[in-house]
Amino acid sequence: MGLIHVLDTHTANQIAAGEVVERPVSVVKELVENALDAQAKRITIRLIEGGRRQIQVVDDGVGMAPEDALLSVERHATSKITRADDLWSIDSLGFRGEALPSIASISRMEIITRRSVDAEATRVVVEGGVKQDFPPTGAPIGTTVTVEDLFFNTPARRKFLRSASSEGTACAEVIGRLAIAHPDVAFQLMQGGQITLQTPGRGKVEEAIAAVFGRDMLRHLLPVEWTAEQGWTLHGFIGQPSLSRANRAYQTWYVNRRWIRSKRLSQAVEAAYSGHLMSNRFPVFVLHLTFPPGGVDINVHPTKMEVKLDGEETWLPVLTEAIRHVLGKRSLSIPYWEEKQHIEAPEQDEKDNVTGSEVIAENPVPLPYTSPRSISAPYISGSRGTGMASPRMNYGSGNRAFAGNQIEARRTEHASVGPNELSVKVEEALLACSSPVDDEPSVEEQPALWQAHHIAAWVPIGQFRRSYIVAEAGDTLFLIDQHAAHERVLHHQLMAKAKQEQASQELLLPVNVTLTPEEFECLMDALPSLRDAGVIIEYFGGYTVLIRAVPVDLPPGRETLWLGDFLERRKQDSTGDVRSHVVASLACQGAVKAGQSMTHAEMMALLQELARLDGVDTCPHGRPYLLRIQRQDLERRFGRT
Amino acid sequence: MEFTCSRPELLEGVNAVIRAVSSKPQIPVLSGIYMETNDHVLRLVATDMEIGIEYKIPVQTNQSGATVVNARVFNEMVRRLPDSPVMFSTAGDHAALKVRYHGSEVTLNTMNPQEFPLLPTILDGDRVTLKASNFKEMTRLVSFAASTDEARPWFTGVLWDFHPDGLRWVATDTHRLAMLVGEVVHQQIAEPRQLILHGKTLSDVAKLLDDDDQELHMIMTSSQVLLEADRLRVILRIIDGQYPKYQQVIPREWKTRITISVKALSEAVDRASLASIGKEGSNIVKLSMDKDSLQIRSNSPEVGHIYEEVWIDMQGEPIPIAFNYRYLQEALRVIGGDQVYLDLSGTLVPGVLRPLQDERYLYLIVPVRTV
Repeated sequence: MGLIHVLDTHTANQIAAGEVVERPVSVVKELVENALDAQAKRITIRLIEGGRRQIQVVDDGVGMAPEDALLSVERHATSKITRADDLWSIDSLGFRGEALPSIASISRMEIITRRSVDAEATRVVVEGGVKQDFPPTGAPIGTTVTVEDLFFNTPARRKFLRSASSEGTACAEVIGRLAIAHPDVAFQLMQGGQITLQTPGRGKVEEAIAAVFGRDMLRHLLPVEWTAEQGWTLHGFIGQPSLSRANRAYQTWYVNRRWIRSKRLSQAVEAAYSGHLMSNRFPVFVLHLTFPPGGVDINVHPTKMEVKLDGEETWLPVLTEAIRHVLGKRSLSIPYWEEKQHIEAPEQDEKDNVTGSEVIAENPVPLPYTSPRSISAPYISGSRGTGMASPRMNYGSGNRAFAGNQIEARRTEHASVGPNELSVKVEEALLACSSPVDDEPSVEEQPALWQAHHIAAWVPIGQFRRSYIVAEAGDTLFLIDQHAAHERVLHHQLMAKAKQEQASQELLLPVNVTLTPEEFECLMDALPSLRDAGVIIEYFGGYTVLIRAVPVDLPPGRETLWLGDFLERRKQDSTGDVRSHVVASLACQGAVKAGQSMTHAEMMALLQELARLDGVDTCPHGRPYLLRIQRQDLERRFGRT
Repeated sequence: MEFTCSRPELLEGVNAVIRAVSSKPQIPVLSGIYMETNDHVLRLVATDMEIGIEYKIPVQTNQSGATVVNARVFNEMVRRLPDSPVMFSTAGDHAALKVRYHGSEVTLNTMNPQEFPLLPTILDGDRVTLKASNFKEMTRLVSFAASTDEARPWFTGVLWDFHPDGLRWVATDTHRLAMLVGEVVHQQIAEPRQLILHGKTLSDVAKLLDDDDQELHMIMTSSQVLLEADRLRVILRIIDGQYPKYQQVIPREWKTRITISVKALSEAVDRASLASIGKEGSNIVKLSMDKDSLQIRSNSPEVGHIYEEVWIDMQGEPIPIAFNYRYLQEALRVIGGDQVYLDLSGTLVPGVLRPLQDERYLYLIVPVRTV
């Protein structure tokens, strides 16, 4: 008898399950994606013990016919594609036809489904892959899939499940990501009888983001809207550099509405942030890439978390440029008080007072009567032509409805917070995040777009603790970290200069520096590149080196400090570009220090220099250098309003 | 204590000593000015323990005594006094200071004069006598070349190098170096020695010397220097640290000597420095030369190119070289005389400026390496 034989269906399914279903979260993802493919508008997910005991996904989608319901648990049975060529133009989330049978083979699964045309619902129960047919039953339109005792027949897998809370968290994350990708679908996640996540499903991405990531994040997000020549589009939100995170967990990619992970995409975005973030900090973003069908191959891995994208090398730089462009146009400075801001646009007459400011002259328009948010309005509302002009009343009432919803949702969690207080907060957050879709320009509600060139018109009032410049402009008070700001200015200038010829100042008396073995090693590696950057260092013996020449921009006497700073950077990022580390250290050493007093003229000069930097309000380490305080905030705090 | 004096003299004295009053005094009494009157002389003293200044003015003493008043308040009050005799008096050691003029009276709070650290009397030590004019010349020609970076304190000072042949003043920030030979009137020094005094403070002291012909006596201990002029006594702390061997870095010979008008070179460099304006500005001027002209070039992507030509006499072969224009500019501003030598020995060897009629001074600039 031959040794090779065809596996029975059950075994094959269990093997497939090994690929598709690793944890409860995989089940949740497959089931929710099915619900989305079934055009559901409302999806409720219930988890018991983080999905270990029960996962239930209830949708109000199209449902299945009785015979389809039976077939759906067969392997490679799908409604989503019919032939292999369809793989190239997939617009549904699922397509492999593996999910349901795989899950069914390792759990007790119950499907109840009803189409709108059917009078009664179909009920299918599968236990460990064994199908049982049940008489029709009553149920609302849509499909309810209940998965119980996951891995009950594969004890090895079961053993590797983590705690209920960590499995639950993983599920919540996936649901959150799916919810953001589908703002038109109302998601509700219930864990142990509590609603832990709820999105309104009114088609507004911000609302979905607020529900998933928290509202605080909204004020720090910048809308992105980009159509590339190659036909793909990029839209979504990127975080201000001040909203950085210690890992990439807050980076979310959707390719054709499918949530994916892609290091290369993320790196392309991070490249645009370089110089804005502290080292080991990562930007936050939610970005959708939309390719015309055929431009993307998603059939790489069963869980579809990775995709293959055609011609990455040609369009990734375009993507970086798009993000850089958005960052460059953003409003600067971080409000000192983290609250809703009523920001007035800088006034025209105030700018007129400033004479000889060429920067202003280039922008004679009373600038920012378009808020950054309004760019995204068409995308959010989905109606390109009329998005901007939505009647105000609708907007307002919609808000309140949502606020009400939220109160219901949150009451269970935060019983201690009074409903009034909460509703104010919710409304404020939403007002702050939504675009002012309004016909009449009402200055009160329009967030100003503070851009770098406005800085030229700021008037320095003085220095606090010889470290912070206090400046005013119209109704806003600004605090500027003088060292960080100057460092940024120098960094910018030095980067521009670095492209020109390198000049290095010879030292009359070489500076000798004794290093630690580790520093010495680090320096020796960088030595040839340092020479190109204008630093001439010679070996002196032992771990001692002689600095013979330094870039002309280094102030005299800072050689040792500069080398220390440079080596520190090398240690943290030993593979980075030596030239850019040299520049960064030069900027740091050359900048005015905290504690150094500045004359009014010097402060003015620094502000003028800052005005030339577009879209930057962090020092090269990524720390912010600009804070603002609105007069209205002050007045409120002093009880004047 | 009781004395009468006039406002201009008192203001002169207060202005002199107030430089030594610290803005952040270590002990409260140091926020004050010590005043002592005796034999028709008012002695004003202030110190921040780094530098101490004593200034004497003539007054009409009725009763000798001492007191300490807040320096800031006293300075402001003296400025506001009328130009007529003013009478100051205290009753007892800790009493308030009464100031009377015309029919008016100001009463100022005082501090205990016994707590005030008076300047030490220095009798033993090396002695040198200089002309005030020579001292001032040193601060003008040398002090500016010192560094302002406190990380290496010895470079913030001017080196006083006493050796058997006389005195040399040297200052450098390692990008340039200035040296002047001092004219010692009288010298009594046990053995050759070097000491470093803070360059900025020396410049401040020079401003207090109004009479160029007066003599300046110095007494030097191992840690302090006392400077004495007619009305003035200043105690300076000697900066610790070993000054580098400056003689070794000054080129003894030259390969090319350029003779050039100070005014013409200064103006040309000033114009070339336009290229430093703007964010991509360059501080570098490139010098090239032929038999009778010196070409100065600078450029920046933002400003453009600047080309200057200056008539010169040249001995030797042309040596192209580049400098930071600031270092040229700063020296050309202080160098007197019509013409200056620019001595060069190589593209990466320091260039030396020497005034034509003055062998005592030289100014060395380290070139910039351009790639």
